[in-house]
Amino acid sequence: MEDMDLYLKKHDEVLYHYDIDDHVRELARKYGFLEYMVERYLNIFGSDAEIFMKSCSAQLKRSLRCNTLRTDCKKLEDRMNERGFKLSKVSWTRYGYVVENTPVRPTLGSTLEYMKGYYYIQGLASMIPPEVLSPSEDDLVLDMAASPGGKTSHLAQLMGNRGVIVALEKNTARLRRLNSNLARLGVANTITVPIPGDYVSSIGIKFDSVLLDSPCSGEGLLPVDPSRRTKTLPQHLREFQRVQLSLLIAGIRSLRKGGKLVYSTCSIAPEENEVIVNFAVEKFGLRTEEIRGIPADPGLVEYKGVRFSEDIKKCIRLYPHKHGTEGFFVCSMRKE
Amino acid sequence: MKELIDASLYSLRDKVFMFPHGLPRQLHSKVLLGAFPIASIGLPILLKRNTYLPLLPLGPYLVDHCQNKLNLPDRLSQKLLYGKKIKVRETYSFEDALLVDNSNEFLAFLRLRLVSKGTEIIPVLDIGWYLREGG
Repeated sequence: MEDMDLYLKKHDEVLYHYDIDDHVRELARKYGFLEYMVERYLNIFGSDAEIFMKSCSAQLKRSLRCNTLRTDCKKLEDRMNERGFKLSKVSWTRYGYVVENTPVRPTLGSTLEYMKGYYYIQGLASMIPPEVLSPSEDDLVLDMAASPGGKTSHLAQLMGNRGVIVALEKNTARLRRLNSNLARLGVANTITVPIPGDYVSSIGIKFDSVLLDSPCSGEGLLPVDPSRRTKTLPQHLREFQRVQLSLLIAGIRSLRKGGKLVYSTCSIAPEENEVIVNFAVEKFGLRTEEIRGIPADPGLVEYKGVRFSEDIKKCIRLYPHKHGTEGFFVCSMRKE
Repeated sequence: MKELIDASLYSLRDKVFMFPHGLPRQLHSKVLLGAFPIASIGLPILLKRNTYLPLLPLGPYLVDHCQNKLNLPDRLSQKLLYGKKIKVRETYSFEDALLVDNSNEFLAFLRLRLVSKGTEIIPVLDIGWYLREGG
């Protein structure tokens, strides 16, 4: 952990220094964000910062993932059409649909098809990490922060309910939700384990694939939850960083040689994304892998004067104003 | 049903779980030895009380093999899926049944009770549970 502390300390002063001028203050007032967040957006987006902040007020279209463990997608489309929903397939995901039209009743989360587990209501960007991990039917997969089970069930679907997924969730209420969703969706190849992700070594096995969809500030969910404009302070980002690094280290240590680890967050904060995966590349020698076929921006190789490995360019970033999804970050890495 | 027959079954606390293709050997021994805490293994299919009671994930496996099934008008099925009992004029020769929809898809486990001028139908466990209490 000494390595981790030194690494975080190395960049702390630069990352958490904010130049708040009149322009920043004006934008913060105009869009209702904390000033330090606006300063960061100017660093990330440059002249597009206002476009980004404006997009956080626009509602994202609802989306769902067809669950082929319970139905086939054509049948789902037809059934939902009969109920007054119009679904349109998203070309860059295997099972994702945008919900173009909804009836007054029933709501998307109360249809018979929902109760039968035909689909899972999920943001489009959240469908990316399991498809990038792309586990095979024989794999032993670790899902380090599994609740409420959207990505776990997606992994099970990709594996055809074969192989084994070990899904970790330490919180009792969240574990209950995870188990309920897995049962509803017909997921039969998953063992749920009530331990925190950084205790995974206590299981005593090496995994073929690891998914770390890490706890984060949720800064990418601004369009969904406006309270996030003022909820997260710099100190919270620091705390998340420690959790994320700790989990990533545990995940890397549980991965067999040649195995694949996908790190993702619903955050656009470089502090929670590039800073974290750069540690994996620099200290553990993990190699990032290209992610193809998804409309996204590349990972940042520089932020506020802090330079990251060129490898980080192969990670991807999604934004509401450019890609029509929640803000998201995904990085695929191989342990050599 | 073949999937159910070929599956490995695990008993954990008050539930029986089904794991379709069995665990890899190294994981199987760790699970049996209790090497780490486990909340669930595969699909929960039975609840152990004085007897074994079916859980919701078992329902879809039973529809093609059980004779005692009811397909009711939508407005009555809806009430059952809210966890509410209903009364109908018909009488039946069985006490336990599956509730299915027009596509013969599983909706609930039912208990039937003869009452005056008909049958009281009680949902023992229905898929509406996922909305009410599933989380």
